[in-house]
Amino acid sequence: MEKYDVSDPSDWLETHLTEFAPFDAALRCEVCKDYYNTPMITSCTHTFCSLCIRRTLAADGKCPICRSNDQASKLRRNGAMEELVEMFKVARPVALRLAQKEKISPDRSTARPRSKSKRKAADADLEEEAQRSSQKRKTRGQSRRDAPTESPEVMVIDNEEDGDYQPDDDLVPCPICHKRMKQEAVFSHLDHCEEEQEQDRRRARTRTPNSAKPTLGSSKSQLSSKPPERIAELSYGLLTEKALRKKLSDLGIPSWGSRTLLIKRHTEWVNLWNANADSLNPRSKRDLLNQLDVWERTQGGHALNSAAAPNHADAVMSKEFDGVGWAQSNKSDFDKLIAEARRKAKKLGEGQQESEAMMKEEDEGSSKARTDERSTNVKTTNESSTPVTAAPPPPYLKHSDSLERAKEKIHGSRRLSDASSTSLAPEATRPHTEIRDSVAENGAEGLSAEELFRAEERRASISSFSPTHTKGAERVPMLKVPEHPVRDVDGGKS
Amino acid sequence: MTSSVASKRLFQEYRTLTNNPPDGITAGPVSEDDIFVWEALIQGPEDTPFALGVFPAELKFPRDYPLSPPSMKFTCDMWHPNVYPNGNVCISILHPPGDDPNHYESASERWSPIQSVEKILISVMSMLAEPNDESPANVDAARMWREKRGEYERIVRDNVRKGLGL
Repeated sequence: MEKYDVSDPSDWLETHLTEFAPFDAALRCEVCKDYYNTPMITSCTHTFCSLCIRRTLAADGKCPICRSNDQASKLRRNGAMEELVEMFKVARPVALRLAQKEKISPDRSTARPRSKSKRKAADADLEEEAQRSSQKRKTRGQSRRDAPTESPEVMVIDNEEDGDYQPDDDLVPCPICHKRMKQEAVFSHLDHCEEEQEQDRRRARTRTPNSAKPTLGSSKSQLSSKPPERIAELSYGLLTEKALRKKLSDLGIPSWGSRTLLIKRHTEWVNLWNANADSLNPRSKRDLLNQLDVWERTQGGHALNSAAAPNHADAVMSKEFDGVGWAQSNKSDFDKLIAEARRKAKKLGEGQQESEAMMKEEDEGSSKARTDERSTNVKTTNESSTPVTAAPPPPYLKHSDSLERAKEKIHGSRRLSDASSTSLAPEATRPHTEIRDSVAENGAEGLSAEELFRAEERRASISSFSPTHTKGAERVPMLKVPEHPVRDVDGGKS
Repeated sequence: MTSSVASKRLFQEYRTLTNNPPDGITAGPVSEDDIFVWEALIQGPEDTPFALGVFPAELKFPRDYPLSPPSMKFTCDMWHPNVYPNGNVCISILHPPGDDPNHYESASERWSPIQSVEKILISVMSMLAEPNDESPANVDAARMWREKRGEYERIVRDNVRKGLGL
């Protein structure tokens, strides 16, 4: 198990500042439970990390909170949230340390933690802390206060290197592009910010390799060649596997594997790439490729080879699947399922006999047809359920004779059902002729012609109605109902 | 950056659960080597036949967690309309919104990446108290719960006692 250095809102619960726990939680993405990383806002005004929401939308096209439909192309950056998070991350360790200190110190245990004197003490500590780490924590408020009335000249300074870094320069950042400039210049700058941003981004891309990250030097050519635009999502259904493979190799990502894998990999790459394009501090393509490699090992093509692959269905379908081993390791489950199926089939059989007995009393003629039909149904359900549950090879391996017997039964039942379905038509008409006979008899006993006619009509309606009952095709779903829970067991496992 | 999104998120959830465990629930990875298999202990809710019982369950997480939900299986005897005889838990929060074989779950109750182990376990706890017999996983238990409540409660209490080794 890998260790992560994670912070958590519950850290505050140990301190006197328990109210900070929900505050801390509010600055976190609901999907990854970590602080927003390049927060994006959806059309339904929910905010997530860019990568988190892109992955979720690629998977099911819905906002994870309110489940309204949305598209990745409609996401917009939530700059205010991003800044809030960055500021809070800086302030958090200091505040947490203070809050913990308060909890321990005994002389303050009686006083309210937020009393005036204490806050002063806390402020003093904070001040000290602030001085120690000098410029890093200079707040915007201060810079605004300090900024005197100067000529409204646009002075743009690139702020590409580090999100945490706030230069100590009496300037304020533009709310859209975060470029720092004099306060008075912001409003005039806002009018043409978007265009400038686009131009600057193009320039900045070619410049990044030179800045502060020596390891990126070698990937300079890659970076300058990559377009600043986001990659469009593809409608995979329209692409042949060959075209898809070409797309992947054009993008410079691995293009091996099945079509499904290609689609998955492309989706992941689009998400990684576009989330990176959203970021204020985009990383190099090499970093992204590393991330894709991690994905490949955990969820992609290399993950399936591991024994612990969670998706059994995929594993079972693969050619190298160890059927015997699988059957052995899951023998108890299979045995249980077989026993269950036998028990159910037996129960079903008993139920059938009871209802048949009742039917016989009702209508002799058509019940004969039903009995035939039912018994074949019972057999077919018996036979069909056993092979399903006994699908793995071992149960049959050592019992070839029983396998033969089972096959025979299946064939037998098929013949029977064929026979009964062909005999269904004459069977259905039989009651009618019988009625005629009985009518003739009744007539001899002196019933009026009208009564005879009504009786015949009634019986005719019964006889014309009954064939729909006895149709095998309509019976099967009713008998198969108990199979559903059995199938769900498998569904629940995957 | 050698780790997957899923393991980081699971680690984060583990941290939350150990820092601030909800009443009657503990959960965590079974071993250090595999963070994708957890064991959870759920206390039986009070004023139900499950009261005083402690029910162990196993949670298995997919590699694309939290996009897909984990599966949950009780590793003790559990007589409940929404628990399959083999222990698998059938509850809407564990079902992805895509497929609804039973056509009764509203999408809002189903799995979403914003859910968590904690929310699952809380849902399961309330499921113990209030079974949903609309689409039972254990038909016999559901029928008994509906028609012979006394017998149902007796079986549940027996299981509780068995689980405690009494």
